[in-house]
Amino acid sequence: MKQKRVIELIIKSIVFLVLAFLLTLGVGYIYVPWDHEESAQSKSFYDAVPDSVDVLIVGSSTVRNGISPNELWHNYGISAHTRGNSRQPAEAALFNLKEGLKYQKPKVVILGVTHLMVAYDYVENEPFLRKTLDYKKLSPLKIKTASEYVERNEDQDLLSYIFPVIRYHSRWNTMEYEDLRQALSFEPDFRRGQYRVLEIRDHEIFDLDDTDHSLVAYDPNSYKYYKEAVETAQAAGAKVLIVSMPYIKWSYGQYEAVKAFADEVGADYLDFSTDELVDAIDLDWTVDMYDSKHLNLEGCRKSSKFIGQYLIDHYGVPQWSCSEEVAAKYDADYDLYKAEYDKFMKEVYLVHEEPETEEEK
Amino acid sequence: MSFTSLNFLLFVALAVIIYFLVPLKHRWLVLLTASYAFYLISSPESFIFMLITTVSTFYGGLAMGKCDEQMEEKVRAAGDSLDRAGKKALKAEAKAKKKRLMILILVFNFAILAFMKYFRVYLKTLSEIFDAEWLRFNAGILIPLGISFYTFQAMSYIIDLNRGKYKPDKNLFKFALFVSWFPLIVQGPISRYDQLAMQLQEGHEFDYTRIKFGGQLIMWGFFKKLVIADRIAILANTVFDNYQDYRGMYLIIGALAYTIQIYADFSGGIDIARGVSQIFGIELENNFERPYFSRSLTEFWRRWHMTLGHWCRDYIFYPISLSKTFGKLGRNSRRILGDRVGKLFPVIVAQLATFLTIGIWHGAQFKYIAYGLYQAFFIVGGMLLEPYLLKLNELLHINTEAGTWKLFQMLRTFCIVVFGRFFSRAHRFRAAVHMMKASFVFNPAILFNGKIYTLGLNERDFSLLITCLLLWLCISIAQEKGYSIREVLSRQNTLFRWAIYLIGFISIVIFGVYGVGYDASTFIYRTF
Repeated sequence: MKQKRVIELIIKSIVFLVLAFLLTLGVGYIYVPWDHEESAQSKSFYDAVPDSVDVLIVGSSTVRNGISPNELWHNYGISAHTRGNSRQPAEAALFNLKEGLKYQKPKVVILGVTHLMVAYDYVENEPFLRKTLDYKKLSPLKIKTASEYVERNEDQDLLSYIFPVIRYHSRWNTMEYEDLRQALSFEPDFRRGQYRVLEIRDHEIFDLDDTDHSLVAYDPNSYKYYKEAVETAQAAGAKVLIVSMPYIKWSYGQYEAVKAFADEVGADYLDFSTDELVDAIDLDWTVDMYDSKHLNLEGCRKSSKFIGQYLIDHYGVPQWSCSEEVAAKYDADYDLYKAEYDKFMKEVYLVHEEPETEEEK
Repeated sequence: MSFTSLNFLLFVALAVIIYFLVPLKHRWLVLLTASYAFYLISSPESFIFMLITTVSTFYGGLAMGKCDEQMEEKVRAAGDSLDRAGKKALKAEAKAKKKRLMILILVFNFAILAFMKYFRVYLKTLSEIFDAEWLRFNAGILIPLGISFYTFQAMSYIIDLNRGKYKPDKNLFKFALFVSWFPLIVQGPISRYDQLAMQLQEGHEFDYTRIKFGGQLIMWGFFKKLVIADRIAILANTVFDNYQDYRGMYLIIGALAYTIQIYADFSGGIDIARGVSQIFGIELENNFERPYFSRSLTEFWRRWHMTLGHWCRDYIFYPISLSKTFGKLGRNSRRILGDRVGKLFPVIVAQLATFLTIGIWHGAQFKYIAYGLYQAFFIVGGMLLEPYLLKLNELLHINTEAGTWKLFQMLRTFCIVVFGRFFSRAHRFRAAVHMMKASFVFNPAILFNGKIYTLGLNERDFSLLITCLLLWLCISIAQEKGYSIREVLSRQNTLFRWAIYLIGFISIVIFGVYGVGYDASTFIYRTF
């Protein structure tokens, strides 16, 4: 009789914990601050036809803003998808790559290593860290990545990454019906992981050769994770192309450091701040940038066109090889992307006036 | 390890599993291990102080027991040769020896308590008076976790031993468990040896209903602490931390908020302690009996922090008021103060001593002494004025059995309690006096013009808070009328009960005040 009661308690406890677990997860889904861009991009990647992506683009905002999978598709028939988040640390790049490889078998991985020489601030960037994981499926890999974040920020706890409601529970206080509606709705992501900037901020012409040539040291933590990312991609049979997108505050020393890293790990390297590539893509520093390190939509088009050709020439990435179903989806996405691009060109880019020079003033 | 942390829940779950796996007669060892582990995890640096109290009290108790044994041995050895007077002399000798030992142990342990808890404040005050910076050398002295609680608990054992209430415990480890039982080490309730020790030492069988009830009590404690106390604390902290910026109704709201906060906080913690103990089969004394329903301050202190009240009653109030010395003093004072006041004199002195102790028990600052005296003032005043107030009632034809009169009494008592909170919560005595004076500014408009929402809680927070307080009030009224909510709940269908549990659980998760961005208060009584 007593044994029966013990078993009853154990079963009831397990059932209760499972229900509480599911309820907490479910409520967390509503409470995560809903960022359509991020959430839709995550979902569209999970929804993509398995093994249909030949080029996986991984990196932080510079890469996410700087390469357009739609341009790669439209101009060259390359199937590509971007997995990245703004201001993400190297661990997130590794996570996005590893998780991406669970679903796709890319021929080439394009990797942005923005933080290779930067000590990442895990406290200040906590909201960005959250964005790298909040919209991703719960998995041992996600938990491992979260635990690495938590190790470097003692104010955070692992449980809040597993159950986001722990982090966001106080939002009940400010949430409106619209938040709930958005959380339960889903807008498809036609940009395939790209983040588009529809704005121009004026910049002066930049010349990498005029910058500091002293070599910059790697951040040991970032180095470890980026190196593991390259090795992981290579182990999965993919070629790795490391890219540095145009950056007005870049230096020759940094270029040299990334180049040395690429050489060390056996990857190719393209730096779009070098004169050679600036000329090759016909980059106009004054209008093709959004801010000092992010391309706007026109700048992105220019760099994507170059990268597409590079992928074909150097890696023989298949063109127009998708199934009809996948191709139709790509075409439909491109149409939406094109409409957005045209609008940007018409309303922002072509009417952009350069600021008056000092003399004119 | 905070009671409201996940680590604590996992710790308890592990202890429960091991407890019920171990044979019945060895289960107390699991409790002792868990208690010491809890203390070492929570406050390793103050562990030594608890050990000193445990060892000194245990061996002191043994020595006191020895006095009785030696006396009995002598009586036995003397046999019939010892007359009644001889026996009486031996007993008196043993009693005196025991008393000396008791005083020694009490002084030793209370000295530790006083030094660790109060010395720093005394030196700080002296350094301020004499402008002597060097007197602040002791800033690093720590206050051992739960020292007020376990010291009072251990000292009650010694005093009761002296009174011959029970024989001394012969097993150091079992006694150590009584002193260190982890659910109550942080904030009580202050339990007595004869009420708790045997429960801890005897193994308890697995009991599903008990575990269920314990779990419910823990959840209710979490709700009170995280949803109510820590939410209303935001408001109380805003007002008390910036008291110079506020006047009138703001200060009254602050004091009211703190009054609710401290009750939700303390009783929430006690519910968790009782719930955890209940799972192990140990029934702790209740520490609260809906104190804010009290119709007088005397009644309030019978319902608020009851175990401290009982401690003070048994070891301070009665010994003073019933002592021969004060009895004699009472008789003498009748000649000067008149029959009625003279008769009350020993009681008044005992009340003053009791409330002074209660005040000092909370802390060394003068504001706590003022807090104790404030309580004593109303209680003693009530005693002295009682006949006049009764006459006034008769004169005004007040029906003292009417519900409205009872409600008035409750509100009156509640107001006195709220006003007294200025002393206990303000940063210092001067601040409390300033707040009391400033609270008389008349500005009730802030209740209606939205300014109340500038105190740290927005409109939704207030709505939630009021809903939770109403829920708590309804439960309290039902309990006051003799209903046991847990028993009522246990008679309902499983589906309904589980829905309640899950709603309760998710409400705590969503509405609890915790996590990044919040400075959730630690349990208030943990600091006393």
